[in-house]
Amino acid sequence: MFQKIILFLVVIILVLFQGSFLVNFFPEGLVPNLVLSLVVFWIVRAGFNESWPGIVLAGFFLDLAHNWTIGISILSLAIVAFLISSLVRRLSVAQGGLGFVMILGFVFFGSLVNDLIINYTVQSIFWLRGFESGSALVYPFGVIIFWNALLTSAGFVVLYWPLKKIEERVIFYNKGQFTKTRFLK
Amino acid sequence: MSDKNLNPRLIKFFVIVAVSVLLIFFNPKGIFSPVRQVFSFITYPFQKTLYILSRKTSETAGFLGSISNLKKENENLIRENNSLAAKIAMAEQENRENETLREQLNLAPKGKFDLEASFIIGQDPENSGSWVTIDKGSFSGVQSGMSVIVSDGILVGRVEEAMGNTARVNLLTSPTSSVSVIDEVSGAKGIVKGEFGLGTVMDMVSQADILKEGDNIITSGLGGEVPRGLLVGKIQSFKVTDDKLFQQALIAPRVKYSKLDMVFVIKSSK
Repeated sequence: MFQKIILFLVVIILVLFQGSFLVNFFPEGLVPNLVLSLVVFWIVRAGFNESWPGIVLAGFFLDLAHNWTIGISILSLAIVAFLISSLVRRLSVAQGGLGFVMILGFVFFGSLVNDLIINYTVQSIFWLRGFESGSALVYPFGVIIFWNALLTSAGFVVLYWPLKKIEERVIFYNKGQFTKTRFLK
Repeated sequence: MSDKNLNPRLIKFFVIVAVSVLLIFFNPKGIFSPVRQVFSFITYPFQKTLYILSRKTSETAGFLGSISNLKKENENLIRENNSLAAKIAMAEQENRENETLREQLNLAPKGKFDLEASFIIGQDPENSGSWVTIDKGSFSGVQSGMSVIVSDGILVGRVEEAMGNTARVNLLTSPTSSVSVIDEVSGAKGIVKGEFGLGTVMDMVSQADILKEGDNIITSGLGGEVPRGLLVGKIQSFKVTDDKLFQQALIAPRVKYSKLDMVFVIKSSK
């Protein structure tokens, strides 16, 4: 229960921080996706099987906070999480554990995939609703996506250690109950 | 990767994807409105505080960053001041002309509407500003469809959804935005549509109508949803559509949507 409350609070704080605080510090359309960073952190630490409820929750809150159609962020985060979990499973065996730089690479890759999925999903929605102009105007693979990925990676650098601290605390408080679990159960 | 581990993971993934896709494409609009209302009600104070705090921080940081340039700026300002003093007389004359032109433009004065002042407390972080969230909602009489302007009577968008304390405003740059407009000079009629946060385009302008770069575009009031005479922007460029049936004009907005701080919702005409 303690883990779930912490998880809920972390997601809510990041969603609000991203949508209402960071937007004033960056140019239009370029805001570090802290929630995505959190998702990558979970995936690397706990795997897809353990993290999926948190990912769905994060996507749901993102959609609510961004006033998007419910499901867009859930879909994009789930796909990103699944792809990264597949990479993690392979690479962690080959590398004998994942280094920080490699996780950072996952964040960068995840941000690119996330933006592409969101853009194409939004494009499809507009197309289905009869807005033809949307198809020509959604940036499919523009520079902005790379900038977003860089900013998200930078956001992850700032977020990584606080998240690790929270994870350690959660494990500490749950000793005896969840000795083998990490941040997310 | 054994089958034992792979299968539950794959199944969970496909279930999440399938449910998400169903929600996205087959979800009737409004089914999540109660959830949105509750979410908005709970998070509103935090959103507002965070947004105002970040605005202030951003402004303070900008101010601190400019201190090092103050001396140079001061010298420039003195020079500019001298230059400006010489232009004041001319500006006053132009000001009088502007007043006359404004009357001719039939721009909506503030006294003409029942306005609800509200602060921006959130904005679209992803798609170059298709919407903003304001801190007034249905509790303050804000309803969906109402026009949203900035102080000078410049239209910036319309309320798409009003929650209790907040409302989502679809900006003119949103692809779902569509407003009937006219060219103030030539009277050419058209529809201004958003271009996915990238700008606004005046579409469906008859070939017979005359467009000119720099012409002001104002709302036509057709349909009755948006009052007549609100300034939308000015024509930046125009072209004939590919099918040669209509003309299209790129409209330069009069305000930078990402820098909006305070807006007014037009609740009714006085």
